[in-house]
Amino acid sequence: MPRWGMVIDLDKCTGCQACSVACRMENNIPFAGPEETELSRVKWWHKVLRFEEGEYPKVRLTFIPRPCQHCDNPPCVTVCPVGATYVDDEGVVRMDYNRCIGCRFCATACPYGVRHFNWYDPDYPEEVRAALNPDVPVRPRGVVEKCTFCIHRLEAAKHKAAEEGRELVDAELVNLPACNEVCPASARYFGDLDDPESTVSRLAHSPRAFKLLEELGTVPKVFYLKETS
Amino acid sequence: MSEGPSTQERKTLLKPGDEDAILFEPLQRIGWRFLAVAAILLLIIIFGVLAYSRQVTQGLGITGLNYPVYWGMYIINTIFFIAISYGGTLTSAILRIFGVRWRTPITRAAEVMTACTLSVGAVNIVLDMGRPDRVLHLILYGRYQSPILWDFYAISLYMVCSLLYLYLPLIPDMAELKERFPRRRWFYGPLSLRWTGTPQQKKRLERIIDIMALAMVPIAVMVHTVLSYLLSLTTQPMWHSTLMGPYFVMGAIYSGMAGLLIVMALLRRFLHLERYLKPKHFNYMGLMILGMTAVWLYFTFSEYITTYYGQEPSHMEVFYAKFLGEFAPYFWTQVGLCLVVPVLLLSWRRTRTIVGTVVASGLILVGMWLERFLIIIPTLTRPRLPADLPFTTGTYRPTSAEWAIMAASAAAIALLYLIFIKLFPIVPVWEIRQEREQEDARFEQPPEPVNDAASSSPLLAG
Amino acid sequence: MKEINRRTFLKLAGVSAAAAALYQSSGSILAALNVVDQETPPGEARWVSSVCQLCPAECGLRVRVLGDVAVKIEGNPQNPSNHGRTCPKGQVGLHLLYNPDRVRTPLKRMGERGEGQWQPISWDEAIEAVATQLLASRTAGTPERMAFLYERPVGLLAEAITYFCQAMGTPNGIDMRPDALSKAIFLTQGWDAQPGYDLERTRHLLSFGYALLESAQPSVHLLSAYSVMRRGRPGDRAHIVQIEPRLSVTSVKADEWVPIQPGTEGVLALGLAWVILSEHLYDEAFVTERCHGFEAWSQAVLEGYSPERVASLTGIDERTITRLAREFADTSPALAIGGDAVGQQTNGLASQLAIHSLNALVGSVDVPGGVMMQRPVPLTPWPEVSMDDVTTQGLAQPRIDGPERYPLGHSAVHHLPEAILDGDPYPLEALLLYRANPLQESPDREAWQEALKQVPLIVSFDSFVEETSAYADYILPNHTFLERWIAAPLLPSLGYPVLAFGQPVVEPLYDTRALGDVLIQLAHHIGGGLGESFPWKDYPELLRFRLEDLMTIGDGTIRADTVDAFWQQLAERGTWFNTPYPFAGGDEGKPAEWETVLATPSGKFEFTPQMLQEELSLSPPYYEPPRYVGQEDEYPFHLRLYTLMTQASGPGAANLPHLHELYGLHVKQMWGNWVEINPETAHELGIEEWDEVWVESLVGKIRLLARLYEGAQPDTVNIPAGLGHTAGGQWTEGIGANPEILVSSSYVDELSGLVARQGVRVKIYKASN
Repeated sequence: MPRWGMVIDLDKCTGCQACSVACRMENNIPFAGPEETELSRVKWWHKVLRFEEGEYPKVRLTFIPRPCQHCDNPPCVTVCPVGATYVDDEGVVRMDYNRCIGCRFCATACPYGVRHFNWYDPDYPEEVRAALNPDVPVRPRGVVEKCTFCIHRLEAAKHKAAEEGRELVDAELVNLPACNEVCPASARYFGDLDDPESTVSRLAHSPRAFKLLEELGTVPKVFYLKETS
Repeated sequence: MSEGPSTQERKTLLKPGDEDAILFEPLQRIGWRFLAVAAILLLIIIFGVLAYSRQVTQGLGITGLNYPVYWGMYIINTIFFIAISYGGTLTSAILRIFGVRWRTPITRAAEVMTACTLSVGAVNIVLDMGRPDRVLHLILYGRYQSPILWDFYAISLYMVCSLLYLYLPLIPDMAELKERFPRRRWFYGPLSLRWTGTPQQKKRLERIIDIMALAMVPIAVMVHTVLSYLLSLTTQPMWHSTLMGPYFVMGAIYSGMAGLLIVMALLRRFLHLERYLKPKHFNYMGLMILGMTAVWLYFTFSEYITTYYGQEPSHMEVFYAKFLGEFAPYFWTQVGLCLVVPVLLLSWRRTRTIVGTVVASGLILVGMWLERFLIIIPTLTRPRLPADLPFTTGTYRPTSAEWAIMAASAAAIALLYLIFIKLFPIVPVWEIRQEREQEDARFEQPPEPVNDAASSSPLLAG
Repeated sequence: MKEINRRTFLKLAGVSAAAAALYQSSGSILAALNVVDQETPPGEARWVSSVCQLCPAECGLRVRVLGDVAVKIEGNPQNPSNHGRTCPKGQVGLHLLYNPDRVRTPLKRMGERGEGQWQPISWDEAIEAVATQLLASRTAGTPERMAFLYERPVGLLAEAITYFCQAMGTPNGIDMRPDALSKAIFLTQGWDAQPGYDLERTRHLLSFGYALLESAQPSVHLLSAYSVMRRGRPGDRAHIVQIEPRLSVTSVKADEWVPIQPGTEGVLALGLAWVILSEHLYDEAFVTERCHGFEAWSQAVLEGYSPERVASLTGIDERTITRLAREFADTSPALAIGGDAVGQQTNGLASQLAIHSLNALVGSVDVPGGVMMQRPVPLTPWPEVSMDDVTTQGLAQPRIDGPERYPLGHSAVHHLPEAILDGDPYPLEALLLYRANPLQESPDREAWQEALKQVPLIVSFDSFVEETSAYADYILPNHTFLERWIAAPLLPSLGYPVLAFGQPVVEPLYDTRALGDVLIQLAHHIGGGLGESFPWKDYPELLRFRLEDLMTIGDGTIRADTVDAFWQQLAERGTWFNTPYPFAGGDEGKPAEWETVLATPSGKFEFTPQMLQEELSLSPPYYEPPRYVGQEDEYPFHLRLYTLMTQASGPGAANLPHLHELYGLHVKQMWGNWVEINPETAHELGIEEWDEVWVESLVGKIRLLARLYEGAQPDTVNIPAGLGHTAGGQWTEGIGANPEILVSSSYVDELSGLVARQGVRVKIYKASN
């Protein structure tokens, strides 16, 4: 069974945030608008984090794109009372919107802050509503949502491979999620961490590789390659 | 200053039961004052219901909750109200287990408080759900690994046991009510379970109540511990603490006692129960509360000194948010209300009066509400990856909808309580009588003059 | 008091509460039980090529279409500029197409200009009305009294507009965004355009405020080039030095950020040249064989621009200057690039000259890893316009904005209001606008407003009613880019020619019309020489005509025998290009190419451009300190204007909510702009984070949110430009403040005519509520 993971090379990343927008457009995530933004209800399944240290003129900013980490030991799954979020057998942490009771325990348990709650029904402009991506369900109010590693694209790719009577190949996986596909710097990779020849697997073993909040024991499956000279 | 009548006088002057006639007065009529109060409470409840129905139709967006403060007033109030329920059944059970003599007038008032606050507290958790229409999912798809499911079953068990623990000592009184209010036989009759007051029945009842009392302790401890697991079983800074379980239980006992004391004072005042709820009750309760203040100080100090010495950055963010940051006013107010005020008011007999203890209790309740606020909110505003926030830290400002629902919850508790008062005597009559008989049997000579001025009864005035 | 039956009371109370609740929630309770329905557009999915127009980069796109609905945009993998990727702007292109605030029909103004009263009219009416007025100008023999403002470049459409103007007989096809770098290239290398840069092979980038990772274009290509520079050549990681007044995203990702006093970039370049010259680190072969005026130039540099002097003028340590120069010259190939902001000072052109001279100094001209000349796509040249007397007469007139008053002036739009108001050199009778919004983007807003009132006919071709188009008499709305044919030669970047090609992805949503078609229809309606100059029936036919040569030449990635076959392949692939770039120098250089890339009078790279010497007696290097707008004592801070990656351009660009919600990552600010102030400076001014402050210059003031930023120099404040609209859609009005108000058109570079937009000084004070 594959174990899906992601590698993001921070030395290539330019902080352009195309990944965050591509995710929004792919997954029918509505914008919040100025008032809801003021109330801190912006939904970015994928967000580029910005860390700052130092003082003028020795300032350092670091940009870290952060999708759901799809942990192997996810604190969110443990606490869900109804199994609305679960790890599937390929390591993807999935959401079942029809099961979710909206208690937001998973959202408070996640140390990465990747989960978002639907405070209202999504408010798309009428014109946009007709042009949503049909591969991704629209979520109603009252349920939690988050990055799915573009599971719908993965399913489509598997389907296609099955039709063509073959296995999935690394080349079609590397840029599979919308965030990876759009990245102008080609800084992102997706694939099977358990396949020693896959791009993600090799990069994950790079001496530059690190993970976020590793000390919490969540075993995230998103690896970062640090900037270096 | 009145002298109590002699046992003889008591026995000859009055028919059995008549001395306690005042306990049955509320059941006899509905006065305009009751109606006015009930109407106001109902109005408040309606506002809350309207707010909630807005929430159901529009979404939780009408609250002040946001990213990353996903939990707020509803969770705080759930914990707050369920905590107060500890002043009821748990206190009653513990007092019974330790055979504390002065407990009798208090027990039912306490148990009713539990029933009311617990049910409203449990409802508050449902109010927090994004999809309340799916509440059955908890039963259909419940996962045993989740602390919320433990909450669900623990609270349900506690509710059932508390109601049972309230009901059992009520049986003998129901039998009497059946006689006193013949027109209501249809109601009191079946509930009295054919109680006739035989020694075997009494013995059996006492036995069951004893067992229940013993059982209530672990059940109650479990409930609030499991509630604390909502926080302590995550990795979040200043939530992930082994102390959280005992802290919650201790805090519940603390606020519960304070709540009970206020209820006692109100009953005493409005139902004229001066004969039953005497200053000494308030004195003893006040001392117990003072004891809990010390326990509160111990736990709180432990929590913060551990954090401070650990100096872990993400924990210290939360720590400073409370001590010096935007939560400082609330934090120090909480310390004042939970520590300073009780010590000042309850340490000296002179101030440990009914008024004094009530004031202290009221302020303790406010302080304890702040404590729950401060346990939940600051941690949520300081996630470990602060770079994720659009602002420097998260914020939380409850909206009118949340306040309305909180007010409605409090009003619902009060209204439920009032309804109970109209249906049943708030002091366990049969137990009072039983005790009096035992006391009379013990003392052949006239009883000591009673010193408290407040315990004079028109019936006994010399 | 009468006793109310207790039970009845409770019953009533309970029922009324329940009823109230039900009333509130009736209907929605059931809806709450369902996952929200979404309509799935019918039909099979297909991918259609298009070209993004949300910034001048014009990246190639592939759009996923279901039935007649576009559901996702991706980059076109075949386009070598963006190779299958898009920037954040491109991703929200769908929201330009499916935008509630689009103009849906041609509009005619009712009421006063700017009142916002419009009446929908038919296209026939609209074209008739505009054509009639333009025809009147031609009949009266004054066709030059029409001006067409547009934003460069918008692909072949810009050329069509210029062609239309010529055929009309007016010289006034005015590009709203001239730049100084192309002038510097013209002076030193003889061709008037921005250069391309071989970033992917360069090993040292010395950037003077070049917004590599923010607003320089083509965005995606540059972002990708950065990635290659870092990780694309294992063991050979490029070194990037960013010299600019603020800590931009490029500065963050660079190896070194050198804060500098705005307007002193040029003199710093000369200081670096001093070190390179005195330590003999320059490319001797190149300067001897391919350069003109090197001796005079280097002598002047050595005499006047020692690191000591330059340190005092720039605020940069002498040792840093020496080190930067050595690092630059020791690494090969190396590139020195001056960003747009460098040219937007009163000494802008001289600065760009100095910076570009560094490239020649180290031999980085037309070699791998160096400066390239963007080769044009060999399309069929425009035909000669049909010159009748009227046209000839009109074209002989001077340009209305008078760019010739500047020796190297390309356009001088800031003079247009006064030209219109004074009727000098002649009154303006018609103003046509496409992607031009001077009321928002140019200084002297009041003058523009007065001037616009004076012009008898104003026509806008934009798809959104923004500030300037609000003053129009007619709006003839263009299709959005997803609804029309687009052919766009690549912006200077890769060097080799690239043509991006897009077709309509969906049927037009509303009663809009492609501007290309409208120009042809107007030409036909006006008739005469103008009509004859447009022998095509519509824009696709025009494009076919232009593709003929491309097909005939038979080079590049598409080969076909007929234009139809060529067109089909081009539409399917979305791009044509021809590699490799023919470097003149380097190991595999083609010496014949030197003639093309060094097209100066001397045939060499001119350190001392002859044109400057002969016409102006000017001999670089020379340095004039920048003249700032406002005196230091009253306006203590430099103002730095910049454009974010998330800021799109063009009509409707500010009405894209997803971009607002990303906006400024480095300060984590969304939905609005701000002014970045150094925290210590803010402290001295008594300003705290999130305070509202006034930023005031000599000519205007705006109210903004103050954000404390360690990446701001103590004496410089930075404001992102592009917001502060008062019109253009529901998500744009009232968002942010417009810093262009602070710019004065009285301060220009006397050589290029560019307004010193980056030379403004301001004062800051807290706003009282």
